Amino acid sequence: MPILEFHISNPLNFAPTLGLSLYVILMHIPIVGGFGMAAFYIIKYLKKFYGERPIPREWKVFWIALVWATVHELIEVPILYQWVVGQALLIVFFIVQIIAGIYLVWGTYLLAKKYSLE
Amino acid sequence: MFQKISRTLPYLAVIPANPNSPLIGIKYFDLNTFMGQALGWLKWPTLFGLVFAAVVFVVAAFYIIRYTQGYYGKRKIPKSWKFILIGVAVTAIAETGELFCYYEWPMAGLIEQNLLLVIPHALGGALIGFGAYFLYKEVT
Repeated sequence: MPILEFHISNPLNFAPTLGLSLYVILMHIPIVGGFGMAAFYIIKYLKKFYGERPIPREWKVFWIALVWATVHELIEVPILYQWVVGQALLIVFFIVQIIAGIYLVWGTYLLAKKYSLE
Repeated sequence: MFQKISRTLPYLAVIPANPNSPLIGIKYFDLNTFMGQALGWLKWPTLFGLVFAAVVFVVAAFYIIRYTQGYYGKRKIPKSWKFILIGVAVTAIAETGELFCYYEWPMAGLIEQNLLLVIPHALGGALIGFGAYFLYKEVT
């Protein structure tokens, strides 16, 4: 595997037929957009719900998890279409996966701990 | 076609999808490759990262269940948290499907690509996104 390479590949030629290629492209909208939308509305919800009060740590961590999860989903697009190929990309992907995963478990654990586990 | 791809593989970094994908591609599953590229020393970190990504969504789903049970008690759990919970659980399936497809490429099976990866991923993302939107709408 190269250290880092950039390629131009047409996503419309990704699958054997144009219809299937479009299907794969369009499916990225709910995948990346869904997580991005969640991060956007969670922070809006928190600002509205808590107003001037400080946002509790469990909610902050849960929101950060959604931001990192969005980055994680975003990196999967150039991986799939192989616009970027190489060890450097895999290392970045690994780090983002770990950070997103830790924040997700930590955030949901703190939420559960506050209202249920104690 | 596949013979042509095989001949050019050593000279190209981009490994194209196979137009004749099998129904299930498990026999092409190879931990030494990622999207058709030899992993080398990145074999174990990559596997750990992919398994970790799938496991954290399962654990997160568990804690969300505990949170909603504790916070709402006997009250009805709102649509927003139901969406987020199902979205997180479905994304765990998608992360597993991702693992299979990355290692089976370019012969990823149609079942892994669609039923384990693309459809659950799109469904999970949409559910989490709309769940957060409904949560926001509850306070506006």
